Amino acid sequence: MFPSEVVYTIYLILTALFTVIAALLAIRSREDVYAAISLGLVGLGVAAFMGLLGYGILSVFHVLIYVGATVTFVVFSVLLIGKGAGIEEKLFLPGIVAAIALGIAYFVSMLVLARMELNIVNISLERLAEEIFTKHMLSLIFLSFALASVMIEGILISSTRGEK
Amino acid sequence: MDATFFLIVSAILFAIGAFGALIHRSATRKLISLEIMFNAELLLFLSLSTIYAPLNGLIFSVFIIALTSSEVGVIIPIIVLLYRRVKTVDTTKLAEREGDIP
Repeated sequence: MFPSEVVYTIYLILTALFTVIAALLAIRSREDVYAAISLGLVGLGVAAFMGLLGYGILSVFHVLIYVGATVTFVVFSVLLIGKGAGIEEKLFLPGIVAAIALGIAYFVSMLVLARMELNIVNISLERLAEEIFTKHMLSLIFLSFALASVMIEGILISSTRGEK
Repeated sequence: MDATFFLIVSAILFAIGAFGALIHRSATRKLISLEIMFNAELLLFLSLSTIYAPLNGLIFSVFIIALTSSEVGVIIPIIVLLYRRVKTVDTTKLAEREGDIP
């Protein structure tokens, strides 16, 4: 194994540890705000994985759109709501068993693909833009409509009075 | 490097997200758990797309991330509106307060 491969593997392991610990914090923290911030850390970890796979542009996009906008939106909404609702104590042990079973089922169902060799990709921004604006224009238009309708919906809901 | 490592990390994240979605009563915490599951799926999808179709995987992921942002943009205002109406985000109590939700 070359030294660069060793460094790459160390980066992968550190990123995996960071992401899994952030996910555990998101689940187990008492305050909803810390859970939302931990979700942002999970997003950063996944963005780091994207960068390590060679998807540098997507990594930046994920940090800007997902962590920068979506998670910040969740954090501020949680701040507005203020209080959580706790956990379902009687579901704790069955939840652990169900989650482990689900994780194992997920792993086994994808195991057929696991032995395949991954490649580090290198796609330029020009290539991505050309592909989106030529072959996927219709999808882009639909996405624009979806985002516009979300904006209108957000304005409508925020202008609605809480009382009946 | 093979895909096993990414598969393991993705499965762990998926299980953690599923556990959170099962045990939490708060609607926002359930949403956060589901977002962790989404991140797990996205990670596995991207790692496998490097084998089959890197460019298409990249484009698909851009759309997925943008659509997820809009999905959160729909769900969070609904939760805030629900809280303003019934003063709780506890999903187990929503059924009891059915009359309060117009």
